[in-house]
Amino acid sequence: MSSSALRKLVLAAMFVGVAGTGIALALTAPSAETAGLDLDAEARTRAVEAWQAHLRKIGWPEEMVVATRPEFLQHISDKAPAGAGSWSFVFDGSSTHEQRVVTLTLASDGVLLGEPEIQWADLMVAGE
Amino acid sequence: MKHSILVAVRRGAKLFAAGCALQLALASSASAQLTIVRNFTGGAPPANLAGGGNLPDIFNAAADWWERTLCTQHTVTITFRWGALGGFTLGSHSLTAQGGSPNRETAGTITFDNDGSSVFFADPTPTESSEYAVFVELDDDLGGGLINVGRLHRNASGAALGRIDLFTVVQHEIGHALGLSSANASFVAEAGADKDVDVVAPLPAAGSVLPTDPGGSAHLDMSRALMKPSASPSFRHLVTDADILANAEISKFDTVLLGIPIEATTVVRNGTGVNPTGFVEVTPAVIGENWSTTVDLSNGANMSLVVLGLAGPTSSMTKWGELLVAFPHLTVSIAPGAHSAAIPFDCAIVGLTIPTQAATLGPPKLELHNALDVTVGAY
Ligand SMILES: [Zn+2]
Repeated sequence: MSSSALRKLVLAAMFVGVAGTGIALALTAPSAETAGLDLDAEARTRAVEAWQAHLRKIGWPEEMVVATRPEFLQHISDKAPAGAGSWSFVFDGSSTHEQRVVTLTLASDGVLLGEPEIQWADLMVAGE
Repeated sequence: MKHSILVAVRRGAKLFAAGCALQLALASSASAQLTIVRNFTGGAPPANLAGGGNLPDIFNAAADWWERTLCTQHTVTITFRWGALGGFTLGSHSLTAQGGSPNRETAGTITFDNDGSSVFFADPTPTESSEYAVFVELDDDLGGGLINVGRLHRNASGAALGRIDLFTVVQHEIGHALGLSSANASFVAEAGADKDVDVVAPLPAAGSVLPTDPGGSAHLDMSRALMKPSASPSFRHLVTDADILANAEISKFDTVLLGIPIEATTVVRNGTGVNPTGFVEVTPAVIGENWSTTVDLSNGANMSLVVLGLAGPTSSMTKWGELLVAFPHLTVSIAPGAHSAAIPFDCAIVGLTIPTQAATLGPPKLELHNALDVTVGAY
């Protein structure tokens, strides 16, 4: 693939990621390398969706749910092959006193495999 | 009130304030009560747990304590267990459900670290704090007048020395379930942007601004508060008024009881000693519980009276004996021997002392007996 074609694909991935239709893009990007790039954007979108779904599940009012897009969900903390071309992604926004982690797995075509896992907790730590 | 009749006898125009409060309370059937439902799901205690206490008992003591401070109708169910948390983490709270108006946490889970990295002291008598030689209370003015911001025991000995106090950690984690939680929409609305809790009326100390963790976690940025984000070995922290006010403001608990919860007490009083002893049994007067007493009828009387002297203690001689509770405002319970009254769960009457006196009614005659000064307690 030429470098200009790759740039176009990256731009397309950014656009599609925002629009939330990354699966269509995955069909047009068959190589492993470009599929990974596509999956990153897809994973970020899915992470935000998972976070907002969790907020709804624990009873947040809808106007607060739609206004919430935590910054940490834009940064992939860990990414690892999960078999059969699928990848697991970890978004970790934890600090010393609060745990905020989203873990999800995407198939090579961008389809979500299983339920994303949300870990969100108030933490107390040992001090001096 | 099965076997006795409560009759309000009022003389005079002005009601003694405390008596008024009690009468209103006794007339009230509604109870404004915070209920913490406790579900212990087990897990193994850490092998290095010291002190002889256990998690369910300590959890009960801590939950009872919080229930006595936030006197507002609400129920939250907390599922708690031992589990491995790793690192330096002592305890972890996750909100699992919230709702209602005002929005409050209705269910949460708490895990206490059992991987051995947290070295806990499990106190078999957590409300006594006898393992700590010094108790310190600290006040500060955070814009609404002086409030208590620190309540800590130090100078630990025995198993408490060098270990993290599990009672402190449990109180802290329960505190998260009452408002200060990053997953609580009410916390986000109150402190998410400005990183503080602004205490407003009707809460006491309105105008106080309680700083929260600038890093965004749901903790107070106050070094002596229970809801600070860490715990240190050899110290025990108790719920401070700042902790109570922060959770009350976030969760809109509009009635609070600041200070250390008051224990119900009963003091025997008998003036000059001429009256015979009348009370033979009495239970503590605890809000939300039944207060009961029995009067001795061995003098041949067939009826007894318990006089609640709402105007305070006194002493004056009458032809029936020494009157030890003051007129003009009395409530009298009349029954053969056993008397009881349901004390409402009303934090406004905690600390109220009610002088009571027993009397027996013929044959052969009316006879006054000793008095009990009953102080209503939160426990
Ligand atoms: Zn905490």
